Amino acid sequence: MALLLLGGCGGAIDGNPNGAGPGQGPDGNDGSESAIVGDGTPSDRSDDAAGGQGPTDGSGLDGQGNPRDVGFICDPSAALEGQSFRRLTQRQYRNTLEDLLAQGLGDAGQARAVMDALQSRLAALPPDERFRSAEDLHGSYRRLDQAVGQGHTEGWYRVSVDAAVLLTEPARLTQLAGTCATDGVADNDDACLDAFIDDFGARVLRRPVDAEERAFYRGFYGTTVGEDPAGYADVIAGMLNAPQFLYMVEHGQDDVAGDAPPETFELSAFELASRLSYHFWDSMPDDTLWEAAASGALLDDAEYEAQVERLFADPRTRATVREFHRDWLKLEDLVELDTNVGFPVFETFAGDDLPGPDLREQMIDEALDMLDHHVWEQSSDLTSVLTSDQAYPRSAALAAIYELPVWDGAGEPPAFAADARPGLLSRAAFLATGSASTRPIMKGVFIRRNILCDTIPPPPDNAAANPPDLSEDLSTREVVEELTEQDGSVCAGCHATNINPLGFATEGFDALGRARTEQMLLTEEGAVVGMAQLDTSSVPRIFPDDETVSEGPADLMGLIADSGKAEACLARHYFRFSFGRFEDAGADGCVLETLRTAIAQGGSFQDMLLAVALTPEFRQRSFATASQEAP
Amino acid sequence: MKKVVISRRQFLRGSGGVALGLPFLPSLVPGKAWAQEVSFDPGPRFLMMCTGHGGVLESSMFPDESMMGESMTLYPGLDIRRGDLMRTVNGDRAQLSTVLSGSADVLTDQLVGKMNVLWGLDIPFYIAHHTGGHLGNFARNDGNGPDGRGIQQQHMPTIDQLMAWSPSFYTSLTGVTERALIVGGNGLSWGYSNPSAASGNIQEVAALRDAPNAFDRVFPAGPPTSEPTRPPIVDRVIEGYRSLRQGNRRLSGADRQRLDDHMDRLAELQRRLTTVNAACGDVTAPGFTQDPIERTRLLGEVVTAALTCGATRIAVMGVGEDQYVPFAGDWHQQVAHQWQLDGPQAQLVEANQAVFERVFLDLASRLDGIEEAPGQTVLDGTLMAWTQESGEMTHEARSIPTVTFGSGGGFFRTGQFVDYRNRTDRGTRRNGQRVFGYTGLLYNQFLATCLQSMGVPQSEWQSIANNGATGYGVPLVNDQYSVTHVSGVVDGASDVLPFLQA
Repeated sequence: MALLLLGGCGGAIDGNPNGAGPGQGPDGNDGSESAIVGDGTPSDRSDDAAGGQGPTDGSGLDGQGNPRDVGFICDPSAALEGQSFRRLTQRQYRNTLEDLLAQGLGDAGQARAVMDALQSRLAALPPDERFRSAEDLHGSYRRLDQAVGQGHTEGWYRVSVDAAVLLTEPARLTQLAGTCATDGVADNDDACLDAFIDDFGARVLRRPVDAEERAFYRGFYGTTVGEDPAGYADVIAGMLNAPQFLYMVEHGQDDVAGDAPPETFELSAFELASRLSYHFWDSMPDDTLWEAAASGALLDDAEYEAQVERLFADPRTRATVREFHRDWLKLEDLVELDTNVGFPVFETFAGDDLPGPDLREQMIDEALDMLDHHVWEQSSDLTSVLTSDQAYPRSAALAAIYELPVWDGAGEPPAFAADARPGLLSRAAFLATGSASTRPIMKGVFIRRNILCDTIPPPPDNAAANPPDLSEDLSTREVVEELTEQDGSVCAGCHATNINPLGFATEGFDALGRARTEQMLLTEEGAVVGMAQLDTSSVPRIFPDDETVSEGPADLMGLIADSGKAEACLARHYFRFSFGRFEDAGADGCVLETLRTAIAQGGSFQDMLLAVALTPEFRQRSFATASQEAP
Repeated sequence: MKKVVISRRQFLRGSGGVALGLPFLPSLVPGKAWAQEVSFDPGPRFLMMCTGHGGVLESSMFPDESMMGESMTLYPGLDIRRGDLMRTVNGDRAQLSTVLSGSADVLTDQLVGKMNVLWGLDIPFYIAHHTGGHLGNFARNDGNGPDGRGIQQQHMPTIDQLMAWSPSFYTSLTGVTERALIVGGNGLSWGYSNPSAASGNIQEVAALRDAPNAFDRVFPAGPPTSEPTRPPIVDRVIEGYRSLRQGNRRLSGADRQRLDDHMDRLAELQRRLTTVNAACGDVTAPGFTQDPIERTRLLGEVVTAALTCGATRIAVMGVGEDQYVPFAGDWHQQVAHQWQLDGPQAQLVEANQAVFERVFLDLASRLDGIEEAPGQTVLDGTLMAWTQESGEMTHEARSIPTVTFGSGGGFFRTGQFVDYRNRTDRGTRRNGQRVFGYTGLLYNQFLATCLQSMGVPQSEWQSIANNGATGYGVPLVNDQYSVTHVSGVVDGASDVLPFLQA
């Protein structure tokens, strides 16, 4: 039985965000990260305990003692320290390289050919990990992984050298630097090199090249007289290793007026262009954005807003938002579903729906498709996502699990009966476990932490040391209650009130995500020994003082949607993705409140996704140095 | 330092000793490898293998206490013991304990004589799940309890990274293409973002998951055989960073640290690009596999080759024990955390025995099969250590099983079964009415011992941020452990562990 004890909560979920905040503190004790198991990849120890640390630093939330006030405190004068250049994520690096090559060569096909030739080098780059920290021990956003190790530096270098060789093959060099680079005419060689550095270099550095930099990059070419493809190759490799290429180097321009904190500056037009393009597209500015920066028009509010709208409407934004959704919902944590195939218990349990190797990815895609559809086609708010009856199964296997027709990816998606399976959290990706047993504890922990941004204290030491004997005639819910809700036990404080009830609501779906009315009880040999009755009623306590009874998933999703906590939590998550860091308790309250209100007050996902780029803070940079940093 | 000469003849002689019927490094050694004699200064080598969970009952993990033949009073109130390891042979199998067993042809008396089994090394607080603790970054724990959670911000470099950047460890980098080879599981190795200056953030050193990647890292293509026609560009790239760092454009302190960090990495890159490891010869890359057991085996081959020819002197391997038994389900929950039940316990024993025999013992046997000087094998010059995440109770790092091979170049006395536990009522760890067993010496002392055995003096690590006055690692001892300790346990944690020094 895949269970473990949780406890030590004493009933104290942080429902009052003031001072603790949904998910603000270190919240994981579940060990889901980096355990050494199997092939060396992290194990899912998520059932270990749900504990989150309590208040850490004040969350910027406005609670003032009212547990149902989910707003954030905005203090424009609050200072932010310790900001550094963000390095490009691997996705950003690849996108940038391909866009740069396409722009330089004037030929997307040639750019793709070069990227294909670089594939083994690119594959050797260290992947961005879902950054784990005290704030999110399950792993947060890949954008937050800002480590630069030897593998990064060396990987970038090797890509640059190989790319440079490929780009200086005669035909490509002509495309890239013009005929003057290969025409055998000596008189134009100097000017040709300068023009190449100015043009190509500007796109690499993402701002114009000044005279000093032109001389610097000429130094890579060396003292060779005449045309030298190897010289061009060294210039290209040098540029592709530049800090301005690998990092988002920002120096700012003017002081921010008003009551902004000290050492906060407006970004320059080119810096702003990069910030916008990387935020929405995970890549470098296109020609239109470049021109807006070059002319200075981007610093004009109206032009800026127009560019934000333009970038947002571009299809590339959808891919970026899809990555946000993938990390926000921790969809990568869904285990492979076919590993238990061949074992009698699982075979009996799965019956005709025995998973194939693709089912996991199909479930993940369905969750992402659902969000895509709601965000881009329906311009939905969060409540719609939490309560929708529509489903998006593109495969026959998933459609069979849902007992719905396959969705063709374009038309009207099929729908469940009203309230039968409401909202995102009752989709298979959040229910499947890879075994024959559901995991109500994990479901509850996920909702409590990731959807409500509540924190849960750690369990007591060795909470799992003495599990009671279990019988084979209990439902999973009954087993969980037996293990974690014994009167007077240290576990009950958290489990009975704050964790299990959230997970019990979806016990009407089995461990493959199929609807069920009773639970099959199995022996280890796979024999069916009985059926257990299911109970999906609970008191989910979205707020600590809320004793409203939920009869099942429809009630639960309604309570979550009505609470306002999910919007505040989503705002916090989108902040992390957007700024590539965890929120600062004091300094980020204004942005957080802007995001929250954008989606909470009748707004849509799109409103929130756009809102972040329109905040003043998005266009600024703090250069305040923390006391322990390098002089 | 002595010069070691490896020749093809010696390699082939070594390969003849490899057991399990496997040819030595079958995917790596081509016909013409080792065709020339080369010299390098190997110095002591360090190989750490880390596995998850633990959970094996001490009665299955450790040899029989009857082997203990000698005791001494370490501190008033703490008597410790040692004895010579003695294998028992039954047919074609040999064993020291249920877990520490293998083919009698491999787990020979000679190899047993090069082992140590250490009982009674504790992380003296409730750390529960962690990966950083194996090598000294206790902050990298999962926050399962208040103790562990309380130190999650107190990151420290792990000892492998300290060694890798220590001028005392690498007195020469000749032939060293990779300072520390980290393979397998993540979360084990941590170092400074600017390692040569020991500054910046403590960040994870990502593990290489696949043998081909590990091979490429440790056996880079190297400089071209013909004279290069153009100077390398790395110096000039560094100059670009320096110019930005020292220019007059606005930067935060964190920006400057970023640039410093990157320049440090570029300097190491420059070093690596110009390093030739002729001793490795014309090795052939291993293939890619998705099978986790085969992947671990291939990684082991790369590690063995790299250590043998001096391409690195440090390796860390993360190995998932759950892959070594047929099990379909949630190993963590259904087995590791049900350690006290008979069925799961049997699976934990089976898995850990398999890891010992198929990975750890296999590596030791390979290294012992390579004679690098008359009467001296590569294993003799190496400290191999296997540690588990927990002791017999998962979540509880009391009596972390610690098994070693090799003398680390003569530093260690080997062939011993050592018991550091305080086997008195005072030494009994309790939590209320629950009794957990005897506590012993600090795992911090084991880490300090490793550092010193590798020639890294206390002066290089005693003042590291978050380290304590003694030992290596955050000096947290919780109340339940501290009451079990007699005077001297904490104060003596920087000393080499008793009985171990040759």
